[in-house]
Amino acid sequence: MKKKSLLFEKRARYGYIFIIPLIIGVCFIFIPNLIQTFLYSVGTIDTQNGFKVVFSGFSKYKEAVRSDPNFMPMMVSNMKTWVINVPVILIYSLLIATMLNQKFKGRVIARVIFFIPVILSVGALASTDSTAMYYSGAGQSIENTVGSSATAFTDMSVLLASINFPKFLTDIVVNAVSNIYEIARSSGLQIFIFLAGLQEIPYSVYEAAAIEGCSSWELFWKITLPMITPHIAVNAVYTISLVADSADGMFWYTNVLAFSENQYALANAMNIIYLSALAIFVAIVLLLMKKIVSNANG
Amino acid sequence: MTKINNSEKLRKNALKWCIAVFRFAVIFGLGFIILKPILAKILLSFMSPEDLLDNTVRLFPKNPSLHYWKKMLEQMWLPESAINSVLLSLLVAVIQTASCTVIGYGLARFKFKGAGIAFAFVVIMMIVPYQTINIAQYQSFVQLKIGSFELVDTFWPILILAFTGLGIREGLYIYLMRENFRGLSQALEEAAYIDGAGVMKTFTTVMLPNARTMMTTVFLFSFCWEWTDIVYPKTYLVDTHLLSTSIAAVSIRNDLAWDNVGTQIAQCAASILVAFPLIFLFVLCQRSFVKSISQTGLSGG
Repeated sequence: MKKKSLLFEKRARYGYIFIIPLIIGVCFIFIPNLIQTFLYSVGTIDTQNGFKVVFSGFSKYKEAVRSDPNFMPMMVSNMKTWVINVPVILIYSLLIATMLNQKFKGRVIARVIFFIPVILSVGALASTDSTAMYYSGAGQSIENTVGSSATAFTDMSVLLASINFPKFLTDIVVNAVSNIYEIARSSGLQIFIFLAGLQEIPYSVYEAAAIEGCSSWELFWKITLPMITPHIAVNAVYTISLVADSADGMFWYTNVLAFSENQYALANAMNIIYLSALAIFVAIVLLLMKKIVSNANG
Repeated sequence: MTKINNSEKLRKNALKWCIAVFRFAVIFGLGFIILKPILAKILLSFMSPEDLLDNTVRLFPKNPSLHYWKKMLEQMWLPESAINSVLLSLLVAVIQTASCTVIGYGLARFKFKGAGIAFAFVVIMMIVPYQTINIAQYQSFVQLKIGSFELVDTFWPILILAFTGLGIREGLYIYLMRENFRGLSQALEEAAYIDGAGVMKTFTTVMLPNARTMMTTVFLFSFCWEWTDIVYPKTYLVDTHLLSTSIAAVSIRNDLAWDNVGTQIAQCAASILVAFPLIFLFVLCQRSFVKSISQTGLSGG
């Protein structure tokens, strides 16, 4: 017994060899650049002598938060998108994955269609999508439908408000409906991961539970959800990274500040503030997930 | 008794039908929303300039023409940009697949000190938006000269980032690889060790064949995302022509003024041109793609 554990301990050291690329990346590129970003934000940069940084205090943070007219509104709207889009995308992709997991004719085609945005609506290709929709009139018709449903939803939100339904929930629903294309586009990979997770659950488990008298509602909460919690974690992290990446307006603004107006320190201060807010958000999400997992298990 | 059974049966059948109709409506509707911009883009690119002035033309061109395709092809720097794109995407995809497989295996199968921290960094690297450390990262590559050889404006920065797990969404690939290896049974490895195989030999002969499906998936993702990426090339390959960065550079001028609408349509045509190889690749690897989507999934084979 002892010998075996020793063998495994000895073997464990080989793990370092396998993750050498990662160690290089973290120690020599990632962490130094994070620190450098922070240093740029608290100093004035002497561009004459090859980017030397002279410490000049936290005044740029104050400037970003207090006196910059664009930064705080952008921050607030970005944070709103995080809080709304992340759960909406997760719930949407879980729903679609459950649907695509059922047996019906043409489900392979359906899966391929839902997967298409992952390769065809990214990077350079994404920017032309909206053009196409607009000029071919497709955009207008989508606007029209969304417009009419939005009015329907205002009626509904009035109705829901009169029965004291929380306002932020109705806001989320209305927002999700009008942004359905955005959501469908950014959830291709999450559907794929959830689908893989759902397929790992053996059918016999469901069968046994159904014989014991579980309703499909209970099956979902007591079996499906606990079994795919690890996949929810991956998807949550991935979705956050997607949503955090898509703050185009703010990144454009910081780039303009840095490269056109030579305001390196201010731009980096904004980036650091953005990163800290993101870190807090991720920490809250992970804590919530932990709580949900322990609730589901206990 | 039979009557009750019949009504029960009827109720169940009705429910089944309702679910089927609902499912069809949702999937068809959403599928339509997803495909519409792509179809619209293709149709739009074949319009002639007259069609754009015609108010009755909506989705389908009345006088299909290759006008915008021709204009676009003149400005795409072919074949130079295509060669560069193929070379860069292939190199990055190969490097990312290799390093993600190795890192994923290391994180999944060895319980060394600091494995948790290493994995936490994978997650952090995935979440931190590239744009926030952009400025510092660019500066560090500018300063990193080997002799008089400058790294910026060569493939090297992107390849180095790909190798070290800092490429586009590379954290995700490492995560998927780790899940894949964690799902394999311990007995496989143990049997190999008992037979006297070393760690490396076990990895190459026993574990790698079991990761083939996931490696294909990672390779395809990595190729597709590098092919369409504009973020890294815009920073590190400013003077190199690539297909992805050429799209936004396509522009059309009338005799006197800037043709804004024409430019955007020509860019649509360009993006179809760039997407075409991906569709081809997708159809080619469709079997392993669909297999990895529908059968094996993350854990196992």
